[in-house]
Amino acid sequence: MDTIAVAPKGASLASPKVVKNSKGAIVPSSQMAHIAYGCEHMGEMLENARKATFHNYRQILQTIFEKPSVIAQTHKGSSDGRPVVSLRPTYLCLQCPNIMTEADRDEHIDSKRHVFAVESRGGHVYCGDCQDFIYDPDLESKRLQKGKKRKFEDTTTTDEHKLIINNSTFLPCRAIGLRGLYNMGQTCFMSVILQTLMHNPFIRNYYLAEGHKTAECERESCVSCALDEMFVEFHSAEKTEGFGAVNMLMGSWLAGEALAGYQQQDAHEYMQFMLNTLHLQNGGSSDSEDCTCIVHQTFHGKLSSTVTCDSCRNTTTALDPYMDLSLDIKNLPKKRKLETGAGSDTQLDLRDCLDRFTGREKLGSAEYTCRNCDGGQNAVKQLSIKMLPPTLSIHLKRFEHSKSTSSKIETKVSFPLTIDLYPYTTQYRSTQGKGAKSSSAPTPSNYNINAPTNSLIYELSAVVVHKGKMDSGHYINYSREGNDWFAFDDSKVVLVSEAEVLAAEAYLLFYMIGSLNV
Amino acid sequence: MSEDRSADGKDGGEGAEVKLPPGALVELTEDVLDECIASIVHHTVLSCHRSEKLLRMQSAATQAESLALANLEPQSQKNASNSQPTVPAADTPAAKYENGRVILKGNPLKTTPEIICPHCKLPRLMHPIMGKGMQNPDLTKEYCMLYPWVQRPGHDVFGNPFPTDMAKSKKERELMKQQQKNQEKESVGTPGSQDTDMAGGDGSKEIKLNTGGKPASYIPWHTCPNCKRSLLITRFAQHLEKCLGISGRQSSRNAMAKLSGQNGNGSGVGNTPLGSRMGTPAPGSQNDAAVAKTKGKGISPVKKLGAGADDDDEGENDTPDKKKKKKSTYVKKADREKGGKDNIKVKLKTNNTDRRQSEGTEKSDGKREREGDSIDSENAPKAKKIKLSLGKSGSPPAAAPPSAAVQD
Repeated sequence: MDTIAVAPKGASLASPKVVKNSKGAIVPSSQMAHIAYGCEHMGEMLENARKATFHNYRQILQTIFEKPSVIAQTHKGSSDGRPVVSLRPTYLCLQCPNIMTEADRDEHIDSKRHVFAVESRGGHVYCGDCQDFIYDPDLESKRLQKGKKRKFEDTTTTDEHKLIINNSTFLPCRAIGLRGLYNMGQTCFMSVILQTLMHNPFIRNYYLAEGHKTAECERESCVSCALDEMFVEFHSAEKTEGFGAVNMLMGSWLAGEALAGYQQQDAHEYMQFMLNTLHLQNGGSSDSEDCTCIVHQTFHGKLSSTVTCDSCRNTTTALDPYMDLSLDIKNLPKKRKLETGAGSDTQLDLRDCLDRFTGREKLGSAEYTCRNCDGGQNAVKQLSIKMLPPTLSIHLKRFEHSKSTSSKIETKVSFPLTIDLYPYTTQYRSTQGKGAKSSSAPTPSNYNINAPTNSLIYELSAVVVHKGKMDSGHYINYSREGNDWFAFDDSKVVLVSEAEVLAAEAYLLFYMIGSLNV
Repeated sequence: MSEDRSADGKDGGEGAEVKLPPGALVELTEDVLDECIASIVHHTVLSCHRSEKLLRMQSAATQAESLALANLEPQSQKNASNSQPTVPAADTPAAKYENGRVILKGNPLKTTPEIICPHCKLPRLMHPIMGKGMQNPDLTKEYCMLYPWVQRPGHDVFGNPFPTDMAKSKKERELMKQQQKNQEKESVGTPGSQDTDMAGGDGSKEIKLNTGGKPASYIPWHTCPNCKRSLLITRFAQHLEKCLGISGRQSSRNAMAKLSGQNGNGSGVGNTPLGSRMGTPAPGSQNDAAVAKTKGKGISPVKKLGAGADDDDEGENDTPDKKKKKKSTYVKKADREKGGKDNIKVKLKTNNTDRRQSEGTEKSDGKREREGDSIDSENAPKAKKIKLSLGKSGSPPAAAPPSAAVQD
């Protein structure tokens, strides 16, 4: 490791890199070798016409991501020059307003020497001299912003960078948080929830950025400190064997009497407990309305519940906070079965459950008292999602508790890797007037295929699975790390395929907002 | 949608201006499908291309930077007194390094076949070290510790075998301890030998591939934060329940269930051999391993009994005044452990207990001395230190500030 000996010199070098960086490159790369340009040709281009290039590129990105897609997808026909709309990606010249097909692009590059073209679906830049797509750091950061202005300018100064570089130590490359948790005796319910939190980017950012300062925390057996300890261990130790979450167990037991004791627990219950405890221990305010603690920022949403009285049509709306959506998976209406035909093995899908969750529900006169009519009335109740959290957790009600017995519903519920949550929002429901279902999707005039309006795409990020029976089962967790899925089964960590994840008998599902730039 | 309409129009003869030849719909559908598939392929290939090319770009830059800094070192040592610092520069076939900036040359996908870790500046292994798709790497070189994920039955992503002895009975464990002790006598002073033994599975010459984990037989010991006793991690919940005194109603109920189970259908206990509570089962027997496996996962009525049976390894018998007895046997156990402590010491060092202990120092010093890791706790970096410390300024602080490291 000759580089170590040299690094003090590197520190003195830091300043040119840093100046460069505060101009917009991503901060962490300051500690890595800094690449100036995507390729030699782009380097030449940017040195000669930096402003113009950036300006043109931003314009093109706006065309691609904001204007109706038909604009960027229409090119001139090669034979007669009439406009042709293509579904394939087209190429927009970076130096002139031409829009071309792939073949025309190469011709244009040769004839006009306009070397760079932008592909119309993602805004990637093609270099004709390299004959390859290039990924210039400056242009990429603009592309990932989809041509919008940066919301937050990087405010770290050169001195701060120096300070960071001089005061940080090398972390093992392997310590990226993939560690199992030893089963301490019926603690798998705890492990799965902990793994879920450990792999949630929002929670992880918070803890790794010293969100909870263990050194300053004066609570005894603090759960948040225990979680902090785990994050530090997972992200700084070279070890790969499991971890014994001893302090976490003790902290949990001391904080939540209901969950204490050597016995099997419900993972969902434990999650609610964890979130509540972390909320309290991370400076959460008692008013959950506008609590800004990390737990609320990550998981808190609002449901709107509308009740319409049948006789006077008076509607009352109430907003309820939620940390997860609990969905029924029992006795679903046979509607879908009829629709899909005679398929006897039609699978229950998560979206069916959500449909039902946000569907209309008749309330009997005994259940509802209308203030207007001053008495019990039949009414219709409807739930919808008023506010979505960055991480939506969904709980499938697999465990049924009646007075005497408890049982587990083992119905298979299929779930997608990405889900559009827009149809379950209050906003969508309000556009669907009563009985106006015939004219359903209001077709937007400026339809953009790259950034569709009226869609809220969430991506699956973690799945908690319960295997076995009601009172004798085992929990395992599937979590996504980048593009890879891992199964966390106590202390075992295994790489798994998407197919395996999607085939799992899910109990808890975690969807994360999809538009975060990677 | 629009295709449908045009087809209808033709049939009804209403939209007379547009006459479509027969088969137009087929052609149109084919075209649309083709284009859609082409778009999907384009997107998939491009995203893969992007991630691979970015890796290569960074590798080329890292190589150039490393070279530049390596060139710089001897010079600056000579001219240490010289006030003018030399500007580091380097030229590789793939990139040019100039005072903090790297300018790529050519297409990194062609010029740079190897991936260099931008953090530790070592080459990355390109194939898993075992299991699916494995290739034997050139072991004369040193590699970045982030290996490609291993996919091999019975092994985790790093290539460590799954723990197998997680729920061995006390007697078995003691036997194992004895064996280890004997081994230790033979080879003194190599506490870490365990790791390297299993890691260098494939006749390594200079550099050993390191999966970083422990052998399958390894079960960590942990110090109870409450009473500072050292105990097996697999028994921790059980212990803590008693230790914290939460074992109120539920535990007595369990005890009742255990009792009734014993008297009523003791023979129907299942695959937990009844003998295990009296005699010594053959260590490592197949049967026991199977029990161990199920035991790792939650409880069933059967397993509850099984757990009970394990309890009885410590307490002699199951009488209602069990609690009292337990207490006394616990002391015994601790005493006994004192005897076999040498062995545990070794384990503790590789364990993360030490860290925890150093935090709970004030609480009980005597105990910790007994465990002999007070030295350890000083050496062991405190957890926080790793994150923030003013550590060796020399090492390149490769890891991004944590907050950013997270986004992938």
